[in-house]
Amino acid sequence: MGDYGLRGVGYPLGMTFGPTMILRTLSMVLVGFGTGAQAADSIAIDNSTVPAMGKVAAGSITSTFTVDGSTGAVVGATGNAVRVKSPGTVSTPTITVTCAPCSGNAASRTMTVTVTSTGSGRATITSFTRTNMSSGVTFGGSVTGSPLIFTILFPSGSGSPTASFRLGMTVQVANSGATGVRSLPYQISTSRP
Amino acid sequence: MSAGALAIIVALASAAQAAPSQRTAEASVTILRPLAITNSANLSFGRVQPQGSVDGGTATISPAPPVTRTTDRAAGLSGGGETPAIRGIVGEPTRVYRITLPATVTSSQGGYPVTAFRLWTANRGDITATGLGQLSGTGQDTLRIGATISFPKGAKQDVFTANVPITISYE
Repeated sequence: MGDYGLRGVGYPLGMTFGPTMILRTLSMVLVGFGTGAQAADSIAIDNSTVPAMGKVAAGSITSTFTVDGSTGAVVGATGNAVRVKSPGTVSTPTITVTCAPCSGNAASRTMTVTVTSTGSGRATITSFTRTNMSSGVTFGGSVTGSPLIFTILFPSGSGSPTASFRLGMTVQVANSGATGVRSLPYQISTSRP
Repeated sequence: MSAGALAIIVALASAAQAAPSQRTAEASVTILRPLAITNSANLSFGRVQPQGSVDGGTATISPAPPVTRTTDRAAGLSGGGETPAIRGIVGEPTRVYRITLPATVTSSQGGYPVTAFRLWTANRGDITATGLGQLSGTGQDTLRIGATISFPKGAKQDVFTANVPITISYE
């Protein structure tokens, strides 16, 4: 309760609240809640428009390319589509999640991270892989998947600890459909019990 | 404090701790139509009569239309259907593509060296120096490949042709 700004309100517990007092108290609660929301869990992405895979000449069959989250290397995985005179590596996103407030038992300090492809059409992300996990926290669950779902156990203690990881992915390009630039949207979400 | 107010506070506190967070991001890829080649004509120097008594006779087919054949220490005869190699190319409209081909191939008749390839495309004209063609707004181009064949001493009259393998890729 102390996190929500009730200290110093001036109404000792046990004091009978009148309607005005209740309204004032609720106002303080809402203000305090606003303050608390600012300290809530958060997600930061160092670059939300990568990887930019460049040009791919479509194949005669559906093809896939894998972007290594650690090195940024792009390799053709299946099919016969060809990347076009592109750099050997591309930038991959680094995601940083913050646990705030982060206290209580292990369950309450365990964050579930879900990475989901939200696109459709000729090119889509079919799989995600987490790499380069930061130290000081405990990662658990899947390393690869779609959606990719895993957990991060933050250390006990006060403050707002962070954890980071890089994201690799597999991109599928169908052999037919519209050409041109295709976006590959994805979503990262976190939750805690 | 009333129990109701306390319940509200507790509920709000719980909600704040459990509030999910969410971000969206976007990778990208640029998809191009695959390049495809069709063969309209194989390289042919037509019927040529080398001067068998000397070494180094040549016959050259120019790539640009109309077909032009020149010879040196050899005679170009009629009836051989001389033509540059002609390839149709289709792919992503307006895109630039690169043509690569070997420095030398051998003729199908006699195994004589065929070199000095020259490239001409319908959309860009002579591209021998760059090897870069460009597809039209409808994604098409025509490539014509000329070359020179060299005859050794003792070469006999024949219709000389050569297979010229090419590779094309988007630039």
